[in-house]
Amino acid sequence: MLTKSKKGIFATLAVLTLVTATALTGCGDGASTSSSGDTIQIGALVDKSGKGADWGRKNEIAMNIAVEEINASGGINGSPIELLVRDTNGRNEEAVNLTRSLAGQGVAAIVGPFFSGECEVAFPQANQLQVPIISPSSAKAGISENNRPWAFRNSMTDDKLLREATPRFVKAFDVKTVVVLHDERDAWSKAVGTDDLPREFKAAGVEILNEGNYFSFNTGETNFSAIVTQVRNLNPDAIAFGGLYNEAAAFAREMERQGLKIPVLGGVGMYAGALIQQGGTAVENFVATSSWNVDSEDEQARSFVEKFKPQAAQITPADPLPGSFEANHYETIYMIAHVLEQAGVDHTTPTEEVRLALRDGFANLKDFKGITGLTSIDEKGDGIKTIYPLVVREGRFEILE
Amino acid sequence: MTESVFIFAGINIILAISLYITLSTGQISLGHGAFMAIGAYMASVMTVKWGFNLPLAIVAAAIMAGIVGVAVGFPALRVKGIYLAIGTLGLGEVVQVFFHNFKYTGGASGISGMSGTTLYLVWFMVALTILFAWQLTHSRIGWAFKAVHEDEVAAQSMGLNITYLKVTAFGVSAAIAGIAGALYSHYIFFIDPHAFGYHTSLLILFYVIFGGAQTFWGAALGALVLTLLPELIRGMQEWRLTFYGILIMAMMVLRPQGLISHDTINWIKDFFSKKSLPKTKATEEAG
Amino acid sequence: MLLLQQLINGLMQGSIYALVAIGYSLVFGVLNLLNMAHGEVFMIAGFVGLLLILALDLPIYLAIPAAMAAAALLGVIIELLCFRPIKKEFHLAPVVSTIAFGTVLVSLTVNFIGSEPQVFPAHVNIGDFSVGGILISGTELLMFAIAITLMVLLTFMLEKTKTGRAMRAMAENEKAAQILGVNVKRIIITTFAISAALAGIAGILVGLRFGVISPFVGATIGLKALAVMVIGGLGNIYGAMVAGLLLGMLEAATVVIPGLSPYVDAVIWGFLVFVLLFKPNGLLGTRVQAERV
Repeated sequence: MLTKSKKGIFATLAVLTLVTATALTGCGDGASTSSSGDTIQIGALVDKSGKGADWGRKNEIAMNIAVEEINASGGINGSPIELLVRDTNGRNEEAVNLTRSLAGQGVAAIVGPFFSGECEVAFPQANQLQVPIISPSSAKAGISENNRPWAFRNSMTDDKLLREATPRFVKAFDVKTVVVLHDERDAWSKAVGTDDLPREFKAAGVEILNEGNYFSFNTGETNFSAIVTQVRNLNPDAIAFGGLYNEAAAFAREMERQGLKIPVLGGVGMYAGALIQQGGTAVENFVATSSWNVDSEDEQARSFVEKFKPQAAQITPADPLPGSFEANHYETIYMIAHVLEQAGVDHTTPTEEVRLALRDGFANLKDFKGITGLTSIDEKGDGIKTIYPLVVREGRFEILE
Repeated sequence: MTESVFIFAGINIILAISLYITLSTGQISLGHGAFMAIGAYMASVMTVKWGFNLPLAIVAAAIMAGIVGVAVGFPALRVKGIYLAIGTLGLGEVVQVFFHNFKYTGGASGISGMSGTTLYLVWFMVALTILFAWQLTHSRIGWAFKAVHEDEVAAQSMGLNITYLKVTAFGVSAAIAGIAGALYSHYIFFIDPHAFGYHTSLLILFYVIFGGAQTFWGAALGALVLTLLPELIRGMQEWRLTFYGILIMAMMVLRPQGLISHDTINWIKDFFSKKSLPKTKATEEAG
Repeated sequence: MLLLQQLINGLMQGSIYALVAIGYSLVFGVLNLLNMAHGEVFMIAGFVGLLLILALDLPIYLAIPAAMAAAALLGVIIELLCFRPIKKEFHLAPVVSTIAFGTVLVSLTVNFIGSEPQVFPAHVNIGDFSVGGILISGTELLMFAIAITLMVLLTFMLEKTKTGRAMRAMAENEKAAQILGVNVKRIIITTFAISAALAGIAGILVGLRFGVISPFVGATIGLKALAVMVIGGLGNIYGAMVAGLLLGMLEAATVVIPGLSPYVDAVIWGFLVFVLLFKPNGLLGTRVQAERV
């Protein structure tokens, strides 16, 4: 009896030793960054291992390009930027833990997190710890507004994007009737699908054929056969789609299969090169709203796309072009550098002063010229950016006139 | 490691002990995320919408989750083993859909603005939960739970009221999970139904089985180790989940009974009594 | 016409659930244990099929058996890593261990291939045909046919062949079966291989039908198939088939009935809870299994 239990203890000890050993070796590369004293540190929260892993890895590439460019041209008032990238795994608890630990390490600001759910929990922490936090991707309305004065977003919420895009869409395709689709369980999709899209279509005088019965799908779903059959039966002129590009592509393929050929309007989450890559010919006449145009003639934008492509090709070979999230990540680093430069900050400035300068600088940011065009921060802490309604024509995004 | 890690660790310990209590009567629940959700939402509505203070909200969360737990406990009597596990999992999904569509608590958009949970409060509640679990396992009802687990028919023939015991276990367990939910929501500031899906329920099962389902100490240790582990292996970056999974698999092979079993507790007791033994001998000889 | 098309849509989706659930059921019927990594086997088989099609330009009639073989191999690995080394008295350990293995498979896929869904080339699609205005997918019909055929074959095997009889003997009483000369280890391995191969064929066919495969699809399909197995009655192959088709049609029905589509999960899981309340052993479950835990 005793020997048996002893064996058990040894096994337990063995496992615990294994844990500690890896923990110690693991800590090595994670902790080495905090000691450097002649740089300005910026924290970044991305999802590199969860559902958004491909996004997170590409976000990191975009930010690194910006950091390299800024450092090559002398840094911020002579002090180079050091980027501390942390992986949230897309989990809210991790976003909280990492916001706190980055704040504790004395970063000037935190870029991220990626998902709106993570922002909901990370923003209050940053606000409490008095560290500026800027998400380049979250699009759910009201999150920065609830966490004044330290939280910002360099992204455009869908209500603003669709206000401009919907009338153009209605006019371009002569739309009289639409059917609305969204994911009832996803906060962003629900906001776009039950509030923004219906409101704008009604304002444009379009009839919603499934009023009071918006079709709901599950994010991650690929089988849209039942929904498409039902939509086809209602025979609308167009579809209002509150979902991400993955679901939009799956929906498009099913539309094509069942012979339904009508234009589709979606929010910012539907704009991605992967929409065309996954949807092929089926996504023709899909219109997504964005604040980034990958074909921009702007010199800095073109140089960014060229630098980004080869690195991103290692992660998503079929879709190596930067999307709006990557462009916003790149731009956010430049924004931070711009504000700090204006405030005369370098690595000797005490952390509290750097953070205050960033907070006030961001709150008053007007017409900042970046690769997505001119950006201002409104009184809610959200970005006001240039709007591009983009339509898929012959396998390419074009600006919808 | 930052404060928040220890706050989540404390909350997970409470959840693990909560699941241990249902397991100690031989009932497996994969729906504990739902009880946590009910506690979290109840407490959040109390503080944010109705203006009560946090301690009162925690009590209300425990009562509300406990009532639902008892309500689930009765039909659970009819279902056993894997059927019960999957049935409770289903119930958890139904509760999630309910909160997704419940406008009063924000539906899919969630509810925000809760605060007040501190490290001291969490670990005070952990201490209370451990004390409660200790009292429970050493009480008559605790022994009765064990008897039901070992052999239900025999326990019944000995005059134990199986219905009462099993439903009580479910109710008490759910109430404790509700407390954990209240603490969680008032630390993380914002909750939406996604936070309490089957993933959460399965994680709680991980804690208990990894640490050892035979004693509540095992459940608590499992929660502590598995919450701190991802922080410790952060340097492995995107390979962390792979490692986490392999470690758990290895553990199940080496110690399917978990880190701590009855034998471990006995061994620790032996160890300390043996240590004191030579001492007394020595003093005797000296005397 | 609309309803008939929706009925077909539901039946086709249901045959996917049935195929995965039959695999679950087979392992459970013999071992009384759950293989929670079953959904991930489905996912891996889809990726193996896709990689073979992309890399070797394999035609689908070869890619399908290859994906099945890969899945079967994975099933054997799961048995060797998560079930064999763990004594039967610790019946929750394999549940935890297989969930962990599922996590490892997803994490490896995300790290080596990526988190985005991967696209099947358009030319491998089997295509559709239309009968009196009703659109039927060739892939789905194949899946439906396979599910029915396999159900019949498996029943025949369990009833008539030596291996099948050994499996059933083990389901009743493992010790007794061993004493009677059944090679327990071989039977268990065979069961896992067959079960995983079923998930494998479902995985690649779903990939072909919908054109993409995602690393995270396993959790969704695995959970639904688990519900199907329990509704049908644990370890009952006919039950899994009936419940699978039923659930597929129930899902389509939530789209047809106005206002019900946001509640699709509540309908499915509520149906499961409802069935368990009135038939605690599932619709077609007869033996009282899984007494323990």
